[in-house]
Amino acid sequence: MRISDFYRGLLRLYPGDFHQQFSEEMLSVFEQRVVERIANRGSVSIAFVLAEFTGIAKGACTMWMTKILPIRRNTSQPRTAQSCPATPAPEPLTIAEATRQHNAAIRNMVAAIAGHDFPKARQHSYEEIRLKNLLKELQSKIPAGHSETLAN
Amino acid sequence: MRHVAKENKALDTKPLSEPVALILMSLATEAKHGYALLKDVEKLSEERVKLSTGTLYGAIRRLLDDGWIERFAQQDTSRDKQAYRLTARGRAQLDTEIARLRHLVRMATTRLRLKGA
Repeated sequence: MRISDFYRGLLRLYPGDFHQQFSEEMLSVFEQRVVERIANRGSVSIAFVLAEFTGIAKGACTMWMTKILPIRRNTSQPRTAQSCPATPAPEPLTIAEATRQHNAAIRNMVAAIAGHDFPKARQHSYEEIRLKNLLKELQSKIPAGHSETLAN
Repeated sequence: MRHVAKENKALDTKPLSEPVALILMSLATEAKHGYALLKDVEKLSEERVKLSTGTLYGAIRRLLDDGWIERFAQQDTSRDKQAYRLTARGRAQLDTEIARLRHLVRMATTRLRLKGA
């Protein structure tokens, strides 16, 4: 089936790890849908094929964006309390640590926006606000003349 | 479990996208393969939401990363036919979303009644 070969080729647009994890499943699902359409309607519509191919192109772009941007979704999650509710990150004890987490929250938010994952971006935004307030609180406790300062 | 539910309560301001909510709803009853999931999402949405295979697997990847669903090992599972099921965290998230929608419907109904009176 030539359409399946073309689809298989398009799946190579995804990053390697995604391709390795899902390409066989995706091809299998696509073939089942093609078979179902041929059985029900006698042919596969151009609209269906276009929707499938566009879905691949959009999905591949999103996955590459997530991969290329500095903080990957899955590696960044344990750093923030709200993004991983069952295993909240420990509260930062120093300004340096709080600053690091604050910067990570900003990067995660930017990455989520770039990936059009707006619910996740909102989560990171809440986390960024929380950490900013925490930083202010920590800084207010520092005696005058102390070397640690607020990074932002 | 109680801890998870409590922590998830903090996420109630985060609405789910419709495809994600439908995927979670579909997996709430039983584990499903990709194709069965697609068909069930269409059925649940009364043919309104038709996901492409790429969109479905993008969502599956995110849900796996977030720990809301997990791969479900079956005896006859081949590599191209992997089943997925809801985790406790995914179920709690779905419960939270349903509660949010109930509240929304209740408030909308109340306001519409007030306007009609």
